[in-house]
Amino acid sequence: MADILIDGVSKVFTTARKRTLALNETSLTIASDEIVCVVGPSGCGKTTLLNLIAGFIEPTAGTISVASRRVEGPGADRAVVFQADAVFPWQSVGQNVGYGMRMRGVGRAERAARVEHYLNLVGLSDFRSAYPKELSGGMRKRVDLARAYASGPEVLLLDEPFGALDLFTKEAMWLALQGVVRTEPKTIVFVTHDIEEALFLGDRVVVMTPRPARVHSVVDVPFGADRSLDLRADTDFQALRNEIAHTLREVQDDAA
Amino acid sequence: MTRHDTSGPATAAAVGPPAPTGSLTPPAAGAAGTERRRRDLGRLLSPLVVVVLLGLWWLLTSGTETIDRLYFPTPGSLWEAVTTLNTQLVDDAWATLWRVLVSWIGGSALGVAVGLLMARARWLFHLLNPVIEAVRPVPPVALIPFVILWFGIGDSGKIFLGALACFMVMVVNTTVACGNVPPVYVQAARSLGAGRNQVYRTVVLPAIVPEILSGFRIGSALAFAVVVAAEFQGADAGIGRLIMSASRTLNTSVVLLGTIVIAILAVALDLLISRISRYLTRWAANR
Repeated sequence: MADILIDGVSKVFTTARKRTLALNETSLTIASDEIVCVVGPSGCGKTTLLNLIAGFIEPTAGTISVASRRVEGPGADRAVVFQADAVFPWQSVGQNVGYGMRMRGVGRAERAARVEHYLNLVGLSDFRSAYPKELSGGMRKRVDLARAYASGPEVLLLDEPFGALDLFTKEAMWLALQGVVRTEPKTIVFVTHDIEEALFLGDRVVVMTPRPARVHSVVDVPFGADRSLDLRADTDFQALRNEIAHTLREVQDDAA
Repeated sequence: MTRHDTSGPATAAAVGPPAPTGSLTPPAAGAAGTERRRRDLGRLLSPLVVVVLLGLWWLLTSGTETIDRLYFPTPGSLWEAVTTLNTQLVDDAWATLWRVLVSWIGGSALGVAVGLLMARARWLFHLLNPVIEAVRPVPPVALIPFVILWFGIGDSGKIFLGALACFMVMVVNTTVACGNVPPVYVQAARSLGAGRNQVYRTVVLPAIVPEILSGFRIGSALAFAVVVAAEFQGADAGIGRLIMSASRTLNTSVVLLGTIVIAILAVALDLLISRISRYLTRWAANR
């Protein structure tokens, strides 16, 4: 069971000149194998929330636990995929995907087999020995995803992973992620500012508001597991999209 | 449905342009041909420049005697210098090259090691940084009188100076390179389960390689400059000593010959380093 329990978490960033409340008393429970998308305007603390779960920063108040273990720093049970290109350029695609396993001391043969498996899953088996510079941005994101999966985490934390990609590549990545998740379900927290992306991928969508940065509402996404890109033309989908967009505009006007 | 099917269409869309392996389709065969011809012509320019300069040299000195051979030697007198010096030239060249290599390798290695430690331990940084920042702006050549006093005119003083120059370059270069490692790589490695030491070994060290190598190149040129300058001020052997003693007797052909030897050695070393760098950083995108 890899559920995530966020309990009354606040985060204050203190600089010499001022204190910024980046996240205010946020509580959220994410079930095992659930995909929760977090949307919100910039400055609403969604990346802060993700960094807290990842363990890159510590909460000022409250606790976070993953699979009933309290988060006290980054760890292999929580793999992160960032918006920035984090694939190691000095390693081949295969070495990148096998990185987590190598760090854990998984043997060469088992590593090779699992690298092959995950490269297949993201459709990159022909690029195993290529360097990342030979790949397009979308392909590098697939490597990143495969690397995160192959390290065997309990939860996957995605911080606007497809934010820098063009629309077509982005759609392809949605399908790729969908495919990977179908073969191997994971608890996923997906931070994005793209409402359609959130509705297309998420089981639930968490709407966050800036100033004070906190959870505004949680929307259940009723479209089942089998979603195609055409779903976006669906009236229910668009109605939900508009509702969330409306909420976001409202909270932003309130804050302004 | 197989696993591959689910990601199949996505692959086709995201693969997009294939890896840039030079498989560009030419706009037209004729245009590509012209392009290639222009490139080939461009490549011919470099040897042409050398031939023209050599011709001009001969013309201005031996040919027309526009320039007095006292001010600039003729090609003939240069060759004469080569044959008279013979093995002495090789000995001097070797003496200089040996000092350069030892000081460059020793100084750089020490510089990288100290730079890595300074980047790792803040207290060491605060301990050493003031000293390094104070010594760094001083041209190593300015220390020559001291060095002769301390080490005499043998190998050790020259090696010390060259090593000092390379050390300064590499300490700064290494600490800066460590600071330039994108934090996202470190965070990614941590979240993939790497411990602090593993992050250092598998992320920080490989990431700084390109910057370290460019520091080595700068250091090698600097080592030549410093060692030869030190040889000017007093040495038992070396190209710098050869040039200096020839200049006292206005033997310009030997002076020129010494300069040429230094140029050849420095270029050869630089070429070697850049070849090795090319191989070691074949993964880097901007190359």
